[in-house]
Amino acid sequence: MTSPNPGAASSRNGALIWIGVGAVIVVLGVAAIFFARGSGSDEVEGQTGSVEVGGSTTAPEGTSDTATVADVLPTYDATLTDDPAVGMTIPSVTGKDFEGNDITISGDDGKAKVILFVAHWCPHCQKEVPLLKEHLDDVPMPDDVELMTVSTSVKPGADNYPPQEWLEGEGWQAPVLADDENSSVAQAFGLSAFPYFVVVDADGKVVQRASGELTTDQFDALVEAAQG
Amino acid sequence: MDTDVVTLFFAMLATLAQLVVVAAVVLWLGSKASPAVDRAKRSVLAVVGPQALAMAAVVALVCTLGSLYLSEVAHFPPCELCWYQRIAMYPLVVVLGVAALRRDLGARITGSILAGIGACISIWHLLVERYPDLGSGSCDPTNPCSIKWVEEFGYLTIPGMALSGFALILVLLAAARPSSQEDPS
Repeated sequence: MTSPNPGAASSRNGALIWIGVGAVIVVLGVAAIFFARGSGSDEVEGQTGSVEVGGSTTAPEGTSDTATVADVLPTYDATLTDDPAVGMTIPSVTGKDFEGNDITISGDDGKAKVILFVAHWCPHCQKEVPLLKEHLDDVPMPDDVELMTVSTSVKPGADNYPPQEWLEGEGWQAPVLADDENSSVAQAFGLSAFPYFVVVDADGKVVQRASGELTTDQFDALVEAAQG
Repeated sequence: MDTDVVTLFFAMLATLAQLVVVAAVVLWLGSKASPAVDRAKRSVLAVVGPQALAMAAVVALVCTLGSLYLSEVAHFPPCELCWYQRIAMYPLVVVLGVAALRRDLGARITGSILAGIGACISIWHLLVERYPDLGSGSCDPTNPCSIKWVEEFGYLTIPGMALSGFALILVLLAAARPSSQEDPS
Protein backbone atom coordinates (compact mmCIF):
# COMPACT_ATOMS: atom_id res chain seq x y z
CA MET A 1 0.00 0.00 0.00
CA THR A 2 1.40 3.37 -1.04
CA SER A 3 1.16 6.59 1.02
CA PRO A 4 -0.84 9.52 -0.44
CA ASN A 5 1.20 11.90 -2.62
CA PRO A 6 0.63 15.55 -1.47
CA GLY A 7 1.81 16.94 -4.82
CA ALA A 8 -0.65 14.82 -6.78
CA ALA A 9 -3.47 15.75 -4.40
CA SER A 10 -2.64 19.43 -4.80
CA SER A 11 -2.66 19.14 -8.60
CA ARG A 12 -5.96 17.27 -8.48
CA ASN A 13 -7.48 19.95 -6.22
CA GLY A 14 -6.19 22.66 -8.54
CA ALA A 15 -7.72 21.01 -11.57
CA LEU A 16 -11.03 20.57 -9.75
CA ILE A 17 -11.08 24.27 -8.81
CA TRP A 18 -10.56 25.37 -12.39
CA ILE A 19 -13.18 22.93 -13.66
CA GLY A 20 -15.58 24.27 -11.01
CA VAL A 21 -14.88 27.89 -11.95
CA GLY A 22 -15.39 27.09 -15.62
CA ALA A 23 -18.65 25.27 -14.91
CA VAL A 24 -20.00 28.17 -12.84
CA ILE A 25 -19.15 30.63 -15.63
CA VAL A 26 -20.89 28.46 -18.21
CA VAL A 27 -23.97 28.14 -16.00
CA LEU A 28 -24.08 31.93 -15.46
CA GLY A 29 -23.69 32.50 -19.20
CA VAL A 30 -26.60 30.19 -19.97
CA ALA A 31 -28.67 31.82 -17.23
CA ALA A 32 -27.91 35.29 -18.66
CA ILE A 33 -29.11 34.20 -22.10
CA PHE A 34 -32.23 32.70 -20.57
CA PHE A 35 -33.15 35.59 -18.30
CA ALA A 36 -32.01 38.61 -20.35
CA ARG A 37 -34.83 40.67 -21.62
CA GLY A 38 -35.14 41.18 -25.37
CA SER A 39 -33.58 44.34 -26.64
CA GLY A 40 -36.42 45.08 -29.05
CA SER A 41 -35.75 47.28 -32.04
CA ASP A 42 -32.67 49.40 -32.55
CA GLU A 43 -34.82 52.48 -33.11
CA VAL A 44 -34.12 55.23 -30.62
CA GLU A 45 -37.25 56.38 -28.85
CA GLY A 46 -37.97 59.92 -27.74
CA GLN A 47 -36.05 61.59 -30.54
CA THR A 48 -37.10 63.62 -33.56
CA GLY A 49 -35.71 62.36 -36.86
CA SER A 50 -34.51 65.84 -37.71
CA VAL A 51 -35.21 69.30 -36.48
CA GLU A 52 -35.12 72.53 -38.40
CA VAL A 53 -32.89 75.13 -36.87
CA GLY A 54 -32.65 78.60 -38.28
CA GLY A 55 -32.56 82.25 -37.49
CA SER A 56 -35.75 84.08 -36.78
CA THR A 57 -37.54 84.57 -40.09
CA THR A 58 -39.03 87.91 -39.17
CA ALA A 59 -37.77 90.63 -36.95
CA PRO A 60 -39.56 90.72 -33.61
CA GLU A 61 -42.49 93.11 -33.48
CA GLY A 62 -41.45 96.58 -32.46
CA THR A 63 -37.89 96.11 -33.58
CA SER A 64 -36.25 96.65 -36.88
CA ASP A 65 -32.78 95.60 -35.97
CA THR A 66 -32.33 92.21 -37.55
CA ALA A 67 -28.59 92.17 -36.90
CA THR A 68 -29.20 90.51 -33.58
CA VAL A 69 -31.11 87.64 -35.10
CA ALA A 70 -28.90 84.64 -34.52
CA ASP A 71 -28.64 81.22 -36.07
CA VAL A 72 -27.27 79.86 -32.84
CA LEU A 73 -26.56 81.20 -29.40
CA PRO A 74 -23.01 81.09 -28.05
CA THR A 75 -22.24 78.22 -25.71
CA TYR A 76 -23.30 79.11 -22.19
CA ASP A 77 -20.47 79.76 -19.76
CA ALA A 78 -21.75 80.00 -16.20
CA THR A 79 -18.51 81.63 -15.04
CA LEU A 80 -19.07 84.76 -17.15
CA THR A 81 -20.84 87.61 -15.42
CA ASP A 82 -21.99 89.07 -18.75
CA ASP A 83 -23.63 86.42 -20.90
CA PRO A 84 -22.97 87.38 -24.55
CA ALA A 85 -26.25 85.73 -25.57
CA VAL A 86 -28.34 88.26 -23.64
CA GLY A 87 -30.13 90.48 -26.13
CA MET A 88 -29.75 88.01 -28.99
CA THR A 89 -32.83 86.61 -30.67
CA ILE A 90 -33.27 82.92 -30.12
CA PRO A 91 -33.06 80.56 -33.07
CA SER A 92 -36.31 79.29 -34.47
CA VAL A 93 -36.48 75.52 -34.17
CA THR A 94 -39.12 73.12 -35.38
CA GLY A 95 -39.29 69.48 -34.41
CA LYS A 96 -41.74 66.94 -33.07
CA ASP A 97 -43.19 66.25 -29.67
CA PHE A 98 -43.35 62.69 -28.32
CA GLU A 99 -46.66 62.10 -30.11
CA GLY A 100 -45.14 63.13 -33.44
CA ASN A 101 -46.90 66.49 -33.64
CA ASP A 102 -45.00 69.48 -34.98
CA ILE A 103 -43.75 71.83 -32.32
CA THR A 104 -41.90 75.09 -32.82
CA ILE A 105 -39.88 77.21 -30.45
CA SER A 106 -39.40 80.64 -31.88
CA GLY A 107 -38.97 84.23 -30.89
CA ASP A 108 -41.58 85.26 -33.42
CA ASP A 109 -44.70 84.35 -31.50
CA GLY A 110 -44.65 87.41 -29.24
CA LYS A 111 -44.71 85.34 -26.09
CA ALA A 112 -42.18 85.35 -23.31
CA LYS A 113 -40.93 81.90 -22.41
CA VAL A 114 -38.70 79.85 -20.22
CA ILE A 115 -37.14 76.97 -22.14
CA LEU A 116 -35.96 74.03 -20.06
CA PHE A 117 -33.53 71.53 -21.56
CA VAL A 118 -33.41 68.13 -19.88
CA ALA A 119 -31.72 64.79 -20.42
CA HIS A 120 -33.43 61.64 -19.16
CA TRP A 121 -30.19 60.15 -17.80
CA CYS A 122 -29.05 63.27 -15.92
CA PRO A 123 -29.53 62.86 -12.15
CA HIS A 124 -29.84 66.63 -11.73
CA CYS A 125 -32.68 66.73 -14.28
CA GLN A 126 -34.26 63.79 -12.49
CA LYS A 127 -34.34 65.93 -9.34
CA GLU A 128 -35.27 69.21 -11.02
CA VAL A 129 -38.27 67.97 -13.01
CA PRO A 130 -40.32 66.68 -10.04
CA LEU A 131 -39.32 69.74 -8.01
CA LEU A 132 -40.64 72.08 -10.70
CA LYS A 133 -43.69 69.89 -11.31
CA GLU A 134 -44.70 70.13 -7.66
CA HIS A 135 -43.97 73.86 -7.62
CA LEU A 136 -45.98 74.49 -10.80
CA ASP A 137 -48.91 72.58 -9.33
CA ASP A 138 -48.96 75.16 -6.54
CA VAL A 139 -47.82 78.20 -8.52
CA PRO A 140 -48.77 77.83 -12.19
CA MET A 141 -46.92 79.72 -14.87
CA PRO A 142 -48.34 83.24 -15.44
CA ASP A 143 -50.45 83.65 -18.59
CA ASP A 144 -47.86 85.82 -20.30
CA VAL A 145 -44.97 83.35 -19.91
CA GLU A 146 -44.83 79.95 -21.51
CA LEU A 147 -42.78 77.05 -20.17
CA MET A 148 -41.35 74.87 -22.92
CA THR A 149 -39.19 71.80 -22.61
CA VAL A 150 -36.59 70.28 -24.88
CA SER A 151 -35.74 66.64 -24.30
CA THR A 152 -32.28 66.13 -25.71
CA SER A 153 -29.16 63.97 -25.61
CA VAL A 154 -31.16 60.74 -25.67
CA LYS A 155 -29.00 57.76 -24.75
CA PRO A 156 -30.66 54.37 -25.30
CA GLY A 157 -29.75 52.00 -22.52
CA ALA A 158 -29.01 54.74 -20.03
CA ASP A 159 -31.06 55.53 -16.96
CA ASN A 160 -34.74 56.51 -17.47
CA TYR A 161 -34.79 55.69 -21.18
CA PRO A 162 -37.01 56.45 -23.07
CA PRO A 163 -37.48 60.09 -22.03
CA GLN A 164 -41.21 60.24 -22.76
CA GLU A 165 -41.89 57.53 -20.17
CA TRP A 166 -39.82 59.38 -17.64
CA LEU A 167 -41.52 62.75 -18.22
CA GLU A 168 -44.97 61.18 -18.35
CA GLY A 169 -44.20 59.31 -15.15
CA GLU A 170 -43.31 62.61 -13.49
CA GLY A 171 -46.59 64.11 -14.70
CA TRP A 172 -44.74 66.80 -16.66
CA GLN A 173 -47.33 69.00 -18.38
CA ALA A 174 -45.29 71.53 -20.36
CA PRO A 175 -44.95 70.94 -24.11
CA VAL A 176 -41.84 68.95 -24.97
CA LEU A 177 -39.80 69.18 -28.17
CA ALA A 178 -37.84 65.98 -28.79
CA ASP A 179 -34.38 66.92 -30.04
CA ASP A 180 -32.66 64.96 -32.81
CA GLU A 181 -29.76 62.54 -32.42
CA ASN A 182 -27.23 65.33 -32.96
CA SER A 183 -28.83 67.43 -30.20
CA SER A 184 -29.23 70.19 -32.78
CA VAL A 185 -31.65 72.23 -30.69
CA ALA A 186 -29.44 72.01 -27.61
CA GLN A 187 -26.44 73.12 -29.66
CA ALA A 188 -28.39 75.95 -31.28
CA PHE A 189 -29.26 77.27 -27.84
CA GLY A 190 -25.67 76.96 -26.56
CA LEU A 191 -26.25 74.23 -24.00
CA SER A 192 -23.21 73.36 -21.92
CA ALA A 193 -24.73 71.47 -18.96
CA PHE A 194 -28.00 69.95 -17.78
CA PRO A 195 -30.52 71.04 -16.71
CA TYR A 196 -30.36 74.21 -18.81
CA PHE A 197 -32.67 77.20 -18.81
CA VAL A 198 -33.03 79.88 -21.48
CA VAL A 199 -35.22 82.82 -20.54
CA VAL A 200 -36.74 84.69 -23.49
CA ASP A 201 -38.74 87.89 -23.44
CA ALA A 202 -41.83 88.64 -25.55
CA ASP A 203 -39.59 90.07 -28.29
CA GLY A 204 -37.81 86.74 -28.66
CA LYS A 205 -34.58 87.99 -27.10
CA VAL A 206 -32.56 86.13 -24.53
CA VAL A 207 -32.92 87.73 -21.11
CA GLN A 208 -30.96 85.23 -19.06
CA ARG A 209 -29.55 81.74 -19.15
CA ALA A 210 -28.81 79.31 -16.32
CA SER A 211 -27.71 75.72 -15.85
CA GLY A 212 -27.70 73.19 -13.05
CA GLU A 213 -30.33 72.48 -10.43
CA LEU A 214 -32.32 75.55 -9.46
CA THR A 215 -34.44 76.13 -6.40
CA THR A 216 -38.07 77.07 -6.88
CA ASP A 217 -37.22 80.65 -5.88
CA GLN A 218 -34.54 80.80 -8.55
CA PHE A 219 -37.00 79.41 -11.08
CA ASP A 220 -39.56 82.04 -10.10
CA ALA A 221 -36.89 84.68 -10.64
CA LEU A 222 -36.38 83.37 -14.18
CA VAL A 223 -40.11 83.60 -14.84
CA GLU A 224 -40.13 87.19 -13.55
CA ALA A 225 -37.15 87.99 -15.75
CA ALA A 226 -39.05 86.67 -18.77
CA GLN A 227 -41.95 89.01 -17.95
CA GLY A 228 -39.53 91.93 -18.07
CA MET B 1 -24.31 38.98 -28.94
CA ASP B 2 -27.10 40.99 -27.38
CA THR B 3 -25.87 43.71 -25.03
CA ASP B 4 -28.56 42.88 -22.46
CA VAL B 5 -27.38 39.29 -22.27
CA VAL B 6 -23.75 40.27 -21.87
CA THR B 7 -24.38 42.94 -19.24
CA LEU B 8 -26.57 40.52 -17.30
CA PHE B 9 -23.78 37.95 -17.52
CA PHE B 10 -21.27 40.51 -16.19
CA ALA B 11 -23.71 41.39 -13.40
CA MET B 12 -24.03 37.72 -12.45
CA LEU B 13 -20.26 37.35 -12.39
CA ALA B 14 -20.00 40.48 -10.24
CA THR B 15 -22.62 39.14 -7.86
CA LEU B 16 -20.72 35.86 -7.62
CA ALA B 17 -17.57 37.86 -6.87
CA GLN B 18 -19.40 39.73 -4.11
CA LEU B 19 -20.59 36.46 -2.58
CA VAL B 20 -17.04 35.09 -2.60
CA VAL B 21 -15.71 38.29 -1.02
CA VAL B 22 -18.39 38.25 1.69
CA ALA B 23 -17.74 34.54 2.38
CA ALA B 24 -14.01 35.24 2.63
CA VAL B 25 -14.54 38.11 5.07
CA VAL B 26 -16.93 36.01 7.17
CA LEU B 27 -14.45 33.14 7.19
CA TRP B 28 -11.61 35.45 8.18
CA LEU B 29 -13.59 37.13 10.98
CA GLY B 30 -15.04 33.81 12.14
CA SER B 31 -11.58 32.27 12.32
CA LYS B 32 -10.67 34.82 14.99
CA ALA B 33 -13.53 33.68 17.19
CA SER B 34 -13.98 30.00 16.49
CA PRO B 35 -11.33 27.26 16.20
CA ALA B 36 -13.70 25.25 13.99
CA VAL B 37 -14.04 28.15 11.55
CA ASP B 38 -10.29 28.65 11.71
CA ARG B 39 -9.78 25.01 10.66
CA ALA B 40 -12.26 25.52 7.83
CA LYS B 41 -10.39 28.64 6.72
CA ARG B 42 -7.09 26.75 6.70
CA SER B 43 -8.66 23.97 4.64
CA VAL B 44 -9.99 26.47 2.10
CA LEU B 45 -6.63 28.25 1.93
CA ALA B 46 -4.82 24.95 1.42
CA VAL B 47 -6.99 24.21 -1.61
CA VAL B 48 -7.48 27.70 -3.09
CA GLY B 49 -4.18 29.32 -2.05
CA PRO B 50 -1.93 27.70 -4.69
CA GLN B 51 -4.37 28.68 -7.46
CA ALA B 52 -5.27 32.11 -6.12
CA LEU B 53 -2.67 34.11 -8.04
CA ALA B 54 -3.76 32.62 -11.36
CA MET B 55 -7.41 33.10 -10.43
CA ALA B 56 -6.76 36.78 -9.65
CA ALA B 57 -5.12 37.12 -13.08
CA VAL B 58 -8.19 35.56 -14.70
CA VAL B 59 -10.49 37.93 -12.79
CA ALA B 60 -8.44 40.91 -14.03
CA LEU B 61 -8.59 39.53 -17.57
CA VAL B 62 -12.37 39.08 -17.43
CA CYS B 63 -12.80 42.61 -16.03
CA THR B 64 -10.55 44.02 -18.76
CA LEU B 65 -12.39 42.21 -21.54
CA GLY B 66 -15.69 43.26 -19.97
CA SER B 67 -14.75 46.92 -19.92
CA LEU B 68 -13.55 46.73 -23.52
CA TYR B 69 -16.81 45.08 -24.53
CA LEU B 70 -18.85 47.83 -22.85
CA SER B 71 -16.94 50.62 -24.59
CA GLU B 72 -16.08 49.08 -27.98
CA VAL B 73 -19.07 46.82 -28.65
CA ALA B 74 -21.91 48.19 -26.51
CA HIS B 75 -20.67 51.76 -27.21
CA PHE B 76 -20.99 53.00 -23.62
CA PRO B 77 -18.26 55.67 -23.64
CA PRO B 78 -16.03 55.48 -20.57
CA CYS B 79 -16.14 58.58 -18.39
CA GLU B 80 -13.15 60.10 -16.62
CA LEU B 81 -13.51 57.93 -13.50
CA CYS B 82 -13.99 54.84 -15.68
CA TRP B 83 -10.64 55.57 -17.26
CA TYR B 84 -8.93 55.82 -13.89
CA GLN B 85 -10.36 52.41 -12.96
CA ARG B 86 -9.12 51.02 -16.26
CA ILE B 87 -5.66 52.37 -15.50
CA ALA B 88 -5.71 50.30 -12.31
CA MET B 89 -7.29 47.17 -13.80
CA TYR B 90 -5.55 46.67 -17.14
CA PRO B 91 -1.98 46.36 -15.82
CA LEU B 92 -3.20 43.73 -13.34
CA VAL B 93 -3.67 41.31 -16.24
CA VAL B 94 0.05 41.51 -17.03
CA VAL B 95 1.34 41.85 -13.46
CA LEU B 96 -0.71 38.94 -12.09
CA GLY B 97 -0.53 36.86 -15.26
CA VAL B 98 3.27 36.93 -15.31
CA ALA B 99 3.38 36.38 -11.54
CA ALA B 100 1.11 33.34 -11.86
CA LEU B 101 3.28 31.83 -14.59
CA ARG B 102 6.47 32.47 -12.61
CA ARG B 103 4.80 31.54 -9.31
CA ASP B 104 6.06 34.85 -7.97
CA LEU B 105 4.10 35.65 -4.84
CA GLY B 106 6.05 38.89 -4.46
CA ALA B 107 3.75 40.41 -7.10
CA ARG B 108 0.94 40.32 -4.55
CA ILE B 109 2.10 43.68 -3.19
CA THR B 110 2.05 45.41 -6.59
CA GLY B 111 -1.26 43.77 -7.42
CA SER B 112 -2.81 44.73 -4.10
CA ILE B 113 -1.75 48.35 -4.47
CA LEU B 114 -3.23 48.60 -7.97
CA ALA B 115 -6.42 46.78 -6.96
CA GLY B 116 -6.73 48.90 -3.82
CA ILE B 117 -6.41 52.14 -5.79
CA GLY B 118 -8.93 50.86 -8.32
CA ALA B 119 -11.37 49.88 -5.57
CA CYS B 120 -11.14 53.36 -4.01
CA ILE B 121 -11.90 54.99 -7.39
CA SER B 122 -14.83 52.60 -7.91
CA ILE B 123 -16.26 53.55 -4.52
CA TRP B 124 -15.95 57.26 -5.37
CA HIS B 125 -17.59 56.62 -8.76
CA LEU B 126 -20.46 54.80 -7.03
CA LEU B 127 -20.90 57.75 -4.68
CA VAL B 128 -20.96 60.19 -7.63
CA GLU B 129 -23.61 58.01 -9.27
CA ARG B 130 -25.74 57.86 -6.12
CA TYR B 131 -25.11 61.44 -5.01
CA PRO B 132 -24.44 63.48 -8.19
CA ASP B 133 -24.06 66.66 -6.17
CA LEU B 134 -20.67 65.33 -5.05
CA GLY B 135 -19.43 65.86 -8.60
CA SER B 136 -21.13 69.11 -9.55
CA GLY B 137 -24.54 70.75 -9.58
CA SER B 138 -25.12 69.98 -13.25
CA CYS B 139 -24.56 67.23 -15.79
CA ASP B 140 -21.83 67.38 -18.40
CA PRO B 141 -23.72 66.79 -21.65
CA THR B 142 -20.84 64.92 -23.26
CA ASN B 143 -19.84 62.17 -20.86
CA PRO B 144 -20.75 62.61 -17.21
CA CYS B 145 -19.56 60.20 -14.53
CA SER B 146 -23.03 60.20 -12.99
CA ILE B 147 -24.68 58.52 -15.98
CA LYS B 148 -25.76 54.92 -15.35
CA TRP B 149 -25.32 52.93 -18.53
CA VAL B 150 -26.16 49.69 -16.81
CA GLU B 151 -28.17 48.95 -13.68
CA GLU B 152 -28.82 45.27 -13.01
CA PHE B 153 -30.69 43.80 -10.05
CA GLY B 154 -31.65 47.33 -9.04
CA TYR B 155 -28.22 48.24 -7.70
CA LEU B 156 -25.37 46.93 -9.82
CA THR B 157 -23.86 49.55 -12.13
CA ILE B 158 -20.58 49.45 -14.06
CA PRO B 159 -18.42 50.87 -11.22
CA GLY B 160 -20.17 48.41 -8.90
CA MET B 161 -19.04 45.58 -11.15
CA ALA B 162 -15.52 47.02 -11.23
CA LEU B 163 -15.48 47.26 -7.43
CA SER B 164 -16.57 43.62 -7.23
CA GLY B 165 -13.65 42.67 -9.49
CA PHE B 166 -11.10 44.69 -7.52
CA ALA B 167 -12.40 43.28 -4.22
CA LEU B 168 -12.21 39.70 -5.48
CA ILE B 169 -8.67 40.28 -6.72
CA LEU B 170 -7.70 41.64 -3.29
CA VAL B 171 -9.23 38.61 -1.55
CA LEU B 172 -7.49 36.19 -3.92
CA LEU B 173 -4.16 37.96 -3.45
CA ALA B 174 -4.61 37.73 0.31
CA ALA B 175 -5.36 34.02 -0.05
CA ALA B 176 -2.46 33.26 -2.40
CA ARG B 177 -0.08 30.63 -0.99
CA PRO B 178 2.72 28.58 -2.45
CA SER B 179 1.71 25.02 -3.38
CA SER B 180 2.74 22.19 -1.07
CA GLN B 181 5.58 21.20 -3.43
CA GLU B 182 7.03 24.72 -3.35
CA ASP B 183 6.60 25.25 0.38
CA PRO B 184 8.93 22.96 2.37
CA SER B 185 7.32 24.09 5.61
